Amino acid sequence: MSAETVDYLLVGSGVASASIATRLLERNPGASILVLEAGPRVPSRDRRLWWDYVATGQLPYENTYDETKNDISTGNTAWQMRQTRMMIFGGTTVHWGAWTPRMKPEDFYLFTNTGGGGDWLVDYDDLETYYCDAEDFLGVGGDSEERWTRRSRPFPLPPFPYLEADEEFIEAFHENGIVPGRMPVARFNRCMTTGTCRYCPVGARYNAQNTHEALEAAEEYAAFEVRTHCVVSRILVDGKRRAKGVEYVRMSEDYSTRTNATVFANTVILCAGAIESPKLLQLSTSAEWESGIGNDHDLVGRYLVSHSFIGVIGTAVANPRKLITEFDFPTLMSRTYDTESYQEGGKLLLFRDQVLPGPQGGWVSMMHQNQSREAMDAAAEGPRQTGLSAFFEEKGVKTNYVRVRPERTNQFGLPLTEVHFSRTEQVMLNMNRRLALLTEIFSSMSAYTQSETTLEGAVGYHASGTCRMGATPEDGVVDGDLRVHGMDNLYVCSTAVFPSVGAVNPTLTLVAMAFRLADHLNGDDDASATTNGAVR
Amino acid sequence: MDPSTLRPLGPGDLLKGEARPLSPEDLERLWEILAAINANWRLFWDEDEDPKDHSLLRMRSSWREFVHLRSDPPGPNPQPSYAAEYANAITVVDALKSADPDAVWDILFSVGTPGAQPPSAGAAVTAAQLLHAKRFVIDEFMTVLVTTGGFKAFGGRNTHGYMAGSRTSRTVRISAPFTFPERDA
Repeated sequence: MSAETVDYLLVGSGVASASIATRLLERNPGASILVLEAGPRVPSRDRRLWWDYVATGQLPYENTYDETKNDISTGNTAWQMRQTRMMIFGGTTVHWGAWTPRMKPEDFYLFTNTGGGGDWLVDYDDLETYYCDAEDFLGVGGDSEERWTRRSRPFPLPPFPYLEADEEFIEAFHENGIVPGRMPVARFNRCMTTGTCRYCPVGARYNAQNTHEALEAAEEYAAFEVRTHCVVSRILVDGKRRAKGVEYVRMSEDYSTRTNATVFANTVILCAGAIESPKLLQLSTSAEWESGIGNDHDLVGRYLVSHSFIGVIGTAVANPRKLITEFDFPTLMSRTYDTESYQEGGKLLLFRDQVLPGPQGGWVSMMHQNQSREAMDAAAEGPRQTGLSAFFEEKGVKTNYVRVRPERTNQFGLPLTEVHFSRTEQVMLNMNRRLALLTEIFSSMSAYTQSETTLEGAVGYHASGTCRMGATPEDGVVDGDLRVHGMDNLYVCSTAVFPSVGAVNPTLTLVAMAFRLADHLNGDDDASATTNGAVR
Repeated sequence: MDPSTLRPLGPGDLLKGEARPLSPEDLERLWEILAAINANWRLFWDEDEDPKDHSLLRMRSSWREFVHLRSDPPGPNPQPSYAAEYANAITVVDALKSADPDAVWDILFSVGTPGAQPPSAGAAVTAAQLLHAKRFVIDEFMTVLVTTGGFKAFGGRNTHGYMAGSRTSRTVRISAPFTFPERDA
């Protein structure tokens, strides 16, 4: 086993890995593909686990989050790692919200437009058909008539309806010149809107684990395998330019014992997210790469980008229509503040956020407390809290970074992470200005008194930028084909390669990039590849 | 004897016991607990029906799946079994009934809450038994009752855990179509 050789070795089993493997196998069913995943395999679509979640709120994968005790956060803004990523078969798609908006054309030119952050080496037009494929792959429902992005194919599924609770916000949007829109979400048609998206009982919300398991089960893909409990510790090189495989540690089922192993590969692809991908490059030192692979210019791990929430919560004294949280995702959003003119100060993706009554209307806890039926009827009619929230776009700066701390390991044997993140006074000023926009919208709804504002610290939900693409090794870690500069067969496919992420959730764009990479590996990329992978 | 003096129970406190399928008799005893909760809060309830809780039968198959999967969980690495908790709850109900049949549910529903009603003199149950019955059976049945449709009694349209929610329900009220100013300009 330790001397095996595969065509493609994928590190990490999240959505990037699932997308690449699917596309490679569609073209070449006989390709040998090995996926190494550090985390465990937790059953998906398991009825007992789902009932446990419904009845007790316990999720079966809580232990796959980062433990707060392992945080090493420096800089002036604490970085929240816990619950922002998962170390598990299926990666972060095991718990994600599956909001899947496209980036906008101007997002690919952030540096050109603002002098901050980075430009991509691909643009919207290069990705448009891949976006369509990604929407098909993830099962995205959305409004094909919306005008915010140009599209050549309709969404594969219709949008979810606006809910009754959206109505007052739609009116407030209208009064403030804001165009309402449907949130595109990756939920296949079998979605029963159970509101338990964090553990979907029917596999309706996209989960990369389900894709991998389907590939494993397919007879025609006999050489495809996912191996969990495998912590990749080092990329092996053969000279300066070729990756020849990886060393990894195979942990026992309970992670108490370890066995060292090696696998050789013709192509190595890091699909380990914006935190683990740069760490693995940093760990892979050799005579040829003294500072780690691709790190001759000290760029690996730098330009870390955070995507934080800002929000306003208001309280209404009454809830005459007895509105509660109906879905586990927002149905109303707007991209009015997600335009080129907002890039300088930071774009926003606006969405409505139900707060109280919460997912079970508060009734369950009232019954647990033995409160009377009459008290519960009164609670159903108010008060009610609702929120208007937004993702705030931040720009990557070189001084914000991720660095591997190999002296200690976490619960799965992965080395710890130092995250250095600082915000300038200007960034804070921009965030507050954007918060003021939200406050203004809220103040046009007379039923509500604003009760709370949120200006989130740095969080890792959509961490990106740590192996960003650049035309030269002095500019970025990977080229436009996602190949590590200076290497022939080592790629990074993760949000780590994003020089900017705009105001939106990055997963759809990641899947589009993964398909594009697979086409490149399949030799189908005449339209996109140019010298050194740079297309412009 | 006062359960409120005991520390709250967590998932790790589940009574140990071998997984086993529920007997038809066990199932009916547990259903009695669920029906008592329903009667107290009138969730699946219609004053014009006879019996008034006739509609409770609508959620019986969901509830049966819930208790079966918890008592005798399937799979190669099964989750812990609730068989011992269910047996304890049945024992507790029997003990309270034998002491004072009229006070059983008031005692059980109020365990661990302010103003909790103590067990009647002579009821052969411990505080720990009561707390286990409340935490692992009564409370969880309450949740199942609400999420399988009981929430509609409060005017809710959908809730966390309800299969066939707003998107598939034919009766739900959703927003009227909205005119897009930008699109229609």
